Amino acid sequence: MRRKFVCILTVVLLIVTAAFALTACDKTETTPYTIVYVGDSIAEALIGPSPLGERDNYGYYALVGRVNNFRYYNHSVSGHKTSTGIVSGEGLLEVLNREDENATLMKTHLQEADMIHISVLGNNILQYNLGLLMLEVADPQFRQKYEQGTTLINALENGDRVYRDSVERFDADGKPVQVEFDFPSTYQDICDIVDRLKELNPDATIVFQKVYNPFFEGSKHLSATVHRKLAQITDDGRFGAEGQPIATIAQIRKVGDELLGCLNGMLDRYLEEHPNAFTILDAREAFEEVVVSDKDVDGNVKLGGDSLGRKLIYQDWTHPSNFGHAVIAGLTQDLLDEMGVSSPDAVSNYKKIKKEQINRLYKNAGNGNFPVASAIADIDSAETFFDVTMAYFNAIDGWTPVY
Amino acid sequence: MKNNVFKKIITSAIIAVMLTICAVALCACDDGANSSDHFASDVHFDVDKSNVTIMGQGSKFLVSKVFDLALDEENTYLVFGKDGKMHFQIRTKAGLFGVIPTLLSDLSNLIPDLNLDAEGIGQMLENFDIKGGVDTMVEPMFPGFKSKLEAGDLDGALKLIQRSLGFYLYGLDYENDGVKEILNYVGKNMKLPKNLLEKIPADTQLTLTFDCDYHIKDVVGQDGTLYRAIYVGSIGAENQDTQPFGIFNVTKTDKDKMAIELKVEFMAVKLGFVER
Repeated sequence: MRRKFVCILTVVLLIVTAAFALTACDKTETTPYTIVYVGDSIAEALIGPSPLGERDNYGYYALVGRVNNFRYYNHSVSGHKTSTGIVSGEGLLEVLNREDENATLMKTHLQEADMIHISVLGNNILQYNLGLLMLEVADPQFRQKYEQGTTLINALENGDRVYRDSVERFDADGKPVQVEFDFPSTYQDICDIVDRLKELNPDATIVFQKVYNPFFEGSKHLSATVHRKLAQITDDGRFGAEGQPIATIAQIRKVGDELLGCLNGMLDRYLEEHPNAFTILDAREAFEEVVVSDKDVDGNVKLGGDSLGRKLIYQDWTHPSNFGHAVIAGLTQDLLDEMGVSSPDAVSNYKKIKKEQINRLYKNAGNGNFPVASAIADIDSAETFFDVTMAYFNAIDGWTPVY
Repeated sequence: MKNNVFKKIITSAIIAVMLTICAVALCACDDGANSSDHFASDVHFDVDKSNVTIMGQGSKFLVSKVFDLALDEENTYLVFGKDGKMHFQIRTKAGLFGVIPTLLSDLSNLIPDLNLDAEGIGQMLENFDIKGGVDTMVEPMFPGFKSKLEAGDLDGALKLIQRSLGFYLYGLDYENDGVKEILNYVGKNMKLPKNLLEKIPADTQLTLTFDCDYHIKDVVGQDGTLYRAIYVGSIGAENQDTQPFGIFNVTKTDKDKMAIELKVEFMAVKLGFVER
């Protein structure tokens, strides 16, 4: 009897051991959700985080990855357009089509990603004469000319080399210098980027980020000449003051929205033609929500240097600031929550990161006068991701970090 | 009695074997990505002049010329320490600042259109936009930089960069009257003085350094190819689920020496080094 019992016990233990050995190497249950970022400088976050050494604490690519305990890789490259770059000749499409691989494993990461997060489009207009682009969309006949296919926006969408008279530079005879616009075929690039990503990884969730509006009072994007030229155009109602010259920052912002609507609208157009091909992350709308939340006593949205909206943008008037990155991180977090893949500890992890920064960067700020305890308390009492963002940035507003 | 002892031995042996199997199973799950490796001893690398491109352009001839004219080759190197620290430095040639005015003057005589005479150089220096660069880029990247520069404290300003990113510039004699004059001028005007090159002591040797942590990581591509990487910076050691900004790809030369290559995509820069 005893012998039988020992034999049965031995067999059971051997079976359990075999099962354990077989499942111990099964990584599928423990492989973290993987998110890969590609695109331009907004995603690469070399310009934006301040101090730069805090890139992994402010860049949205890292915040989202860390608070959710994701596996995350950033393969973005500053300066990249959808295709044909200004420095190396490569844009996003060329990078995605590279066949060779090295230790950075970009292709492998894309093939293994659960989510591919794309920020690209901005350089397709920023690397050209923005003033002339704005003047063109502000023209009351813009829509009519667009239907005829003769505008810069048509060239931007379809890819073309076109020329326009400069409003700022003239030759020795007083004739305007010709400004060249050699646009890539932005819409076709979007199609090709999606096709390539689906070829590499048919199962990944593709997220395309829309470009936000960077225009605020004092913006350096437009010269004084362009401002004068805009003011010579009568607002046809598209910019908030029908019949008035386009002269206020509110109107100029709306001209910017019109231009960005054309750019971002290519993503909407693609989705109409290919439903569910990707998910849009509307950074333009997210930033706009922050902008319109800040009003003066008369109820007008503040667009000046001290406005909340202006704080979304870095000192170069183009890239997201630390605050801007946090808003984009929050937008991405909302998407992850909706998808059901986020960590239940995300907000609490975000709080930890921000409190660590308070203690390390601001404890000695202002000769030790920074109110550390109240900053920590405000962060602790925040309930949502955005609340933590506001608690942190309200606390450090006006203080210089010590590092 | 003997039977009982025998059974106990067999039972113990079976349990020991099972425990060993479990332990081996867990260890065998290591995917080869050992993330805490450093070199067993300090390893020095020299710049591979045939493998340097900047803005997508590379020329061994040009890089060699830069070394010949301006750089101290023996003291320009990269070392990975057994302590997990990486050190990289570029040092200017001894006496470089003494010969620059002469070099430029000779070039100016050869190619007058380059405007490299004293007046031309002075204008170039004066027109260099320190203020714009500092206000738009440097100060936001390194808050506090501008106020230190305005106070004539270049060393303090450089130390902000050092603490933030690991880069530093050695070699300026901050006690030298000429250097003090330059820094005071820059601090007050946020411009470079026309006579900058005359004020820098002729025996100045500048060394640009970069120091950080590193670790060696073997990574596997989707097709099963094994790559060896050297991760530069702190991410990776603490967080296995990402990569740092700087990654060296490691290969072997045909002389069985280690070759490493770093790419900085946004500047189309490729830096190759070969084991010394």
